[in-house]
Amino acid sequence: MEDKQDLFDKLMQMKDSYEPDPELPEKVLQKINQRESTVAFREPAPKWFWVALACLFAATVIVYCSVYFTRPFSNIKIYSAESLEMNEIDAMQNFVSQTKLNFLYFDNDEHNSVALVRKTGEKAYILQEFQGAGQSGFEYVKFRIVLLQNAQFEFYDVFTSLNDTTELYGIDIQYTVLSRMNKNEVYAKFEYEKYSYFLEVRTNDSGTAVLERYVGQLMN
Amino acid sequence: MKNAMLKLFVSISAFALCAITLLSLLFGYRSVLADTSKTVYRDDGSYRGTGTVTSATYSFACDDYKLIDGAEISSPPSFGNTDHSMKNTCGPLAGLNISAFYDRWCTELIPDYTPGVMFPSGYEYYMDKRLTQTKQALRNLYDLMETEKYGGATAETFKSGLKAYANNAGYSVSTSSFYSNRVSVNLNKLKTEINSDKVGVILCERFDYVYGIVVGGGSAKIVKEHNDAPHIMMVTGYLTYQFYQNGATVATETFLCVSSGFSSGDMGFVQLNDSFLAIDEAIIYSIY
Repeated sequence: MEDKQDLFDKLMQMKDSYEPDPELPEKVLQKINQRESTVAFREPAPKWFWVALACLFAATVIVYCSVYFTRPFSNIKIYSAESLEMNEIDAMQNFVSQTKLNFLYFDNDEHNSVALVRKTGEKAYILQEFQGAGQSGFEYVKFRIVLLQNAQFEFYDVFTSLNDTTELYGIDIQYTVLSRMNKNEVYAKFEYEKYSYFLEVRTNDSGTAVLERYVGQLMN
Repeated sequence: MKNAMLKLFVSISAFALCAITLLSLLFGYRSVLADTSKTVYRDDGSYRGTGTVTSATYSFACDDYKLIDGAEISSPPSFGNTDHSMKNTCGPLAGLNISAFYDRWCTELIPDYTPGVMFPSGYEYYMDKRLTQTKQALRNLYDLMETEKYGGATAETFKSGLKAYANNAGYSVSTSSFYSNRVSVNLNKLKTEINSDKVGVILCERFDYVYGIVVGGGSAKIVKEHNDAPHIMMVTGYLTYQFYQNGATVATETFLCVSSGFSSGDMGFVQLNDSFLAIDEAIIYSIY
């Protein structure tokens, strides 16, 4: 009890001895003004700055739009081999009548398959492989009918630099021939109606004779 | 006394059982380690192998080309695999290709199968018609090469499996090497053997595969991929091309002609002297 009385007396003594600083309000105001001067803009940004910023933004929008809307093959999708799944076709004619698609194909049931896009199940292209008989031996024929529009596949690589051209049955055909020891390797591509066609033939005969023969078979 | 004896017997038995289990596990594990340390040739194309495939296509300025050297089997067999219960089948497919090649002379090497037909210009092989006979031969080679056990064929299982297959049909096998280094083979030896109606195989730790060589429009384009999965392919020849620009030689490239051993049964090339290529072995096979 006595301790508490002592503490009370001490506090009372402190209160009586306290003298307030008469300059305190001024000091506080000074401090506040100092802080405001560091936080606020000293001057607003000049007009030319905002004009330049607006011009830069407008230029960026114009350049982006012009590149975006004029870019070539803007809708082309590239399909890797992994993104496709090959399914065998048992009977080509049945397949064609079921799909109700109107494309050129070889009436041959040796090796036919359809490449489906794994994610969507869309029919990407049809692959026909068979052994034809040429003038002096077998010919290996690989024929692809691309059904998917605006698509690009890995096998296109072989067909991008075909520089010889010929016209057969009213179709413009681009092709090239690679000479081997006893055979020729013929690569050709053409478009007919809305589909693209890619033909590879390993043959003993000349490139143009082979093209005439196989394009003729397709058209008749 | 009787209880003490029983405890001792049980303790010794338990200790022995633990020791046997531990040792068998240890030795079993060691043998598995030893097996997997061997290269397993397993690429089969349809799954893009078990490795990484990257495009290595390149072009260069060229206005003319000429085939300056080569030797090749005119239309060799090249089988694929459509049976999805068999995977990593490059070894068995190479074995099947070799068997089909020699079936021309070694009748019934593939039972009830005719591999090709004679034209005035020479013998030509049929393409893979996916017949029961060749599918069964592939299954036999798959088993003999222990493909399922190893997830592919090792060099040893490939060799022993093909030998066993030929022996089972009453024929013998002889081999000789045409290996030169990791990126090339002995072309003189290969030429001699191809011209004597023999074929080879290459066993590669990694390989390049050329889908096409296209020359035109002022450039030559080599369309190829690099694949880092170990792979076995039948070799049926080689072609050496010289490429020119304005009359000057700009490149000389040699390509091995191969039956790919992919599930698709493609035929293509392996470009020699590609620094990515790593040939482990190059073997001429003869079945007689």
